[in-house]
Amino acid sequence: MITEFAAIGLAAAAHVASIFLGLSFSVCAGLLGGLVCAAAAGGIFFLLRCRKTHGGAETESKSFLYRIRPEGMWEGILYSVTAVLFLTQLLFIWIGDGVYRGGDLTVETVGSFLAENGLYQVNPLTGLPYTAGIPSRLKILCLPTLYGSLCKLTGMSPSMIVVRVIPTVILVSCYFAFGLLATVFFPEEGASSFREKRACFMTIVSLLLWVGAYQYGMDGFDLLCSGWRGVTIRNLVLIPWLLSLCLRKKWLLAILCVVCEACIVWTLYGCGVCLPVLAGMAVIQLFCSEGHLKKS
Amino acid sequence: MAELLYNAWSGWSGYTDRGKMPALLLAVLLFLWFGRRQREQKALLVYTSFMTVCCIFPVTAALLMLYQTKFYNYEWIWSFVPMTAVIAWGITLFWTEYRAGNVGRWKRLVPMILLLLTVVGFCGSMGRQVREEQREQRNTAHAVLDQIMDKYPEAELCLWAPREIMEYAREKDASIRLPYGRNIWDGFLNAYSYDVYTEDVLLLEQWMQSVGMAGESDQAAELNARGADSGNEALEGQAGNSGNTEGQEAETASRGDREAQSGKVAVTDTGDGIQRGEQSGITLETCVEIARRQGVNCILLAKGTSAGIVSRMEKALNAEAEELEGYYLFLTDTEDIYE
Repeated sequence: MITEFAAIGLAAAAHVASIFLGLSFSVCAGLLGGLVCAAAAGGIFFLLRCRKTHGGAETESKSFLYRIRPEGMWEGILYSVTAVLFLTQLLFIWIGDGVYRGGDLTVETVGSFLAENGLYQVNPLTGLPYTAGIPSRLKILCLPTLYGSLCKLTGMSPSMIVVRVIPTVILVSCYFAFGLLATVFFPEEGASSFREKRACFMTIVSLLLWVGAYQYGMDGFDLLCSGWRGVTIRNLVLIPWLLSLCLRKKWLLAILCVVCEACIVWTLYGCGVCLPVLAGMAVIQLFCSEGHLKKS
Repeated sequence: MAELLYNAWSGWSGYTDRGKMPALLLAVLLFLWFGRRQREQKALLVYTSFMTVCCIFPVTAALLMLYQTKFYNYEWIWSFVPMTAVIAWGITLFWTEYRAGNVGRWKRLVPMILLLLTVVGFCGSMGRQVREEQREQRNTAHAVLDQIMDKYPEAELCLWAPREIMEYAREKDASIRLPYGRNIWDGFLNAYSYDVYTEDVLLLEQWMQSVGMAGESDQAAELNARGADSGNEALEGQAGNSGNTEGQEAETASRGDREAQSGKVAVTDTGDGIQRGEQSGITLETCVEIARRQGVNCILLAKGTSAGIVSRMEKALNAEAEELEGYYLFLTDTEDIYE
């Protein structure tokens, strides 16, 4: 999850720098590549240092996978069902041909970045120069740059990266985000059968993602038919993660979600959905902790 | 505001029309509030209940839509409600508590599993149904574009073609330029730029659509082109707040197509002062002239186009038609495209 945040943050930095400095797309992609390498090196160094300081065993014992790994028969069955549903969703993304591109021009935008070697040089829908320009709030959204850089790095076509690869990454991230939420809903302390509950929660989530694929705007539909969009990343990765952070009262990290949304979704002055969710949860938790709701 | 209220009101009925996930959410919230003694995660429960109510009531829903700058449709205000998470949480609590009270009693457990699966299953459907003709259209467009690119590699093409080809041209290859993009029939895309099309460009689109629909009759094509303006209702939403659901888009498009096909539409004033309907001389020759001015050097016509139109096109372009998969290809000048 942190990796995804870092990728979006670095892409936003490279993208905004390129827009304001008028850099070509190749330079922008190179800049992003450099930033990613530097961040990766920093991350590895930081992890190694942490391991030395705290000891590897302890870190491992509290890892995410440890927390959700199955132990009993029921959990095994539930996780198997989840795995099957996940695989079918993966297949749907790759061979299902259910892509929905109405109201979206990401593929064309990425393609025009690569073809023109510049950011927003031409109208992605026609390939002709803009006559009146585009909204500046839209111009600073970084996902097309991130996807375009991946195209440049891997040599894959924009439609392959945007329509297949990115939705796969988002699908995996979505399961991680909901897995994290499961560990918050059903904590180890004090509750019996928490593992089974977590497994059951994940199974139902995966089932709901399938069932909810019936209509534009539903979580399942967004994930399976347009998994590359900023709104999909927000609704299926950022918000579950944000909720888990709010419930754990990790407010500083929660602010990251707000910033991240502002970089990927066209929102009102940057105030999208994450900010009201964060504010709402903070206010309600404040009231709850002060005992206003304890009697209910 | 009245329009927003109407959208909020109709949005809810549209939102619950095709699937029942919101109903499942309400049932889960009722269970979490009144079906159990314990209330874990009270903050989340209060927040979700509050936001659900806000999304259902038209006034608060309209305010939320206003907050989202009216750019996003009604369904997007439901982003404020963590629907999937709360439904899954509620069902998990229900199931685990039910199972704890019925350990080893399979005659009770199995029907409950089936009941839960049925309830969840009936709230929606598995995956998006892509119509066969849509899939075929996409494959055909890709095949035709592949053929063109294979025939003229490295060419700088500016393509004017029927809608079903233009739709996928830039997705297939971003080096292909178009005189107009798919924002003409997908009004939501207009929000992504301040650019507007000139009247000439709109006429090109109308003419091409009319030719496609008129089929064998070249006279009808030109008559229809004169009256097809209102078929492009999406254009009137240049502000970009006319984002449609899939069904609405199809409905708008087909309504426009029907009107154009019948040739009955006689809109002469689109509200921007442009008298379009009475444009005299929306003939093939005029269109070719406009297309040339727009830089078009590659034209596709559907195979169903009348022989008269094809020969007039050949004459107007001084080029011979080449047959591709279901289309006639005209290149203005093979030297032009390598400039």
